[in-house]
Amino acid sequence: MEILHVSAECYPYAKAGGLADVVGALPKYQQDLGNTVKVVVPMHRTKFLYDNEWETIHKGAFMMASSFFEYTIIKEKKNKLGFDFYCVDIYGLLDREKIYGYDDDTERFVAFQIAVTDWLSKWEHRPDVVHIHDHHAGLIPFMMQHCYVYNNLAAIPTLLTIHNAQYQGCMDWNKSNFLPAWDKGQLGLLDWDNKINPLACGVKCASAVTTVSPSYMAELQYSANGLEKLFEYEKEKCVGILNGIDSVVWDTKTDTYILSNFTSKDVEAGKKINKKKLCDDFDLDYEKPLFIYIGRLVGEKAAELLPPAINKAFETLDKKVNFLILGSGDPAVEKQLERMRSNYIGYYNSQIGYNEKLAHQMYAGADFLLMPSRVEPCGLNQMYALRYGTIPIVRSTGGLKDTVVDISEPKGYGICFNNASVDDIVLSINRANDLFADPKKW
Amino acid sequence: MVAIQKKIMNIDNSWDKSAEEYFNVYQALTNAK
Repeated sequence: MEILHVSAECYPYAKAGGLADVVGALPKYQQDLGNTVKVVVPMHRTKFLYDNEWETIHKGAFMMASSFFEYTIIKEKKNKLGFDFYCVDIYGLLDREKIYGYDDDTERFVAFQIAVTDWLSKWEHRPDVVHIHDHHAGLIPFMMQHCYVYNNLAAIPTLLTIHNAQYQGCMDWNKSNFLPAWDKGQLGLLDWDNKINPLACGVKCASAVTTVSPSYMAELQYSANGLEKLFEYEKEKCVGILNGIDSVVWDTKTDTYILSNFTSKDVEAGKKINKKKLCDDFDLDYEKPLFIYIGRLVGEKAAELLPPAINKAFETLDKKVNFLILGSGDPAVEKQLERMRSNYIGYYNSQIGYNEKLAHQMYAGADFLLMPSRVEPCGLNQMYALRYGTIPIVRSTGGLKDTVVDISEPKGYGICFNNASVDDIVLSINRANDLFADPKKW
Repeated sequence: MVAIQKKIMNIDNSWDKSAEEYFNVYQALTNAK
């Protein structure tokens, strides 16, 4: 089977979040299953772009509103990612440093989608499935079916995977002329709440829709940033499929970032060595349980609750616990987390930023991982933690609900709570501390 | 503690299972075509 993935991101070429991890990993595994897999993304000025060799495989042009654009499809020559990897360059729109965050993002991503559809319409054969990801590719099924110039693609099945429904790519109707001439009788497919909504359009027009966990799929029917009724209406063609983790990259047996490699057979000794090193590096107390947080310091992750929850945990547990935080995001939260270092010397530390090596070392050395997320479509950190023998403490939402079972359940192994609140987080830290202190419970 | 650590390290969250689930969706779509 031949599958074409269309995405704004793909690890290691360009990453802003979990979307890149999925689009970088899933095609490799699909290829292993015997499929032919191709991935196409916008051209961004990344290290991967400059470090690799490319060949031009197609040139084309299109009109968007009254502007004429030429595009080029380039292909990475040596199959470095394990599948065919293509970038779309559109002069003046796509060849930039950042993936997102420009005033003309709407134009940029509509143009990207037109270029991909145009290129696809020129292929001598057809892929079996076009698999699009998030709103950046959400208009493609509509264009394949209802733009006159592309109706040779109408019969190809399309699958939309939603990684985060908070972002929908909405644009005003005065931009409807961005799209190549389309059947005005299908206006309703583009519209949601009097705007052109690429994500909603993708849900309506794709042959099937997946989200990155079954629980997130269910949650979208009552919390989807305005699209709840649409998900309720389209539920028959929607299914949740959990993301996986790259078990080669995340392997305690071979991980070159950690001091002591280990397996489940020698987990006790292995984690002790890694914890000792981590505690020495960050001036923490090796004898106390070590709680970590790794991730973006933003509202979706409930990161602003970390400082008050940690303060309260230190009060209620008389400083019998350690915390180590790694992340970046909201400057106010970053500042608070940095300031706390001087208040709790010897049992709290933080590093603002992202550091892949340190993340591996933290999973290997910690006792517990905190994930109080308000929204977590799938979440990978809890899976990394499990693989590294670190107990996850999670708010029961989205993929966290699907991957962590509370220890009070017969087959439980983690700690779950319901509310993104300081009290629930502290209560969970207390439960974890009890378990740590009472070996019989382990 | 060790028992739980051993247990969680052996949970299979690799992509293999998910890739198969996606394949099943593709197959349903192409069969329905």
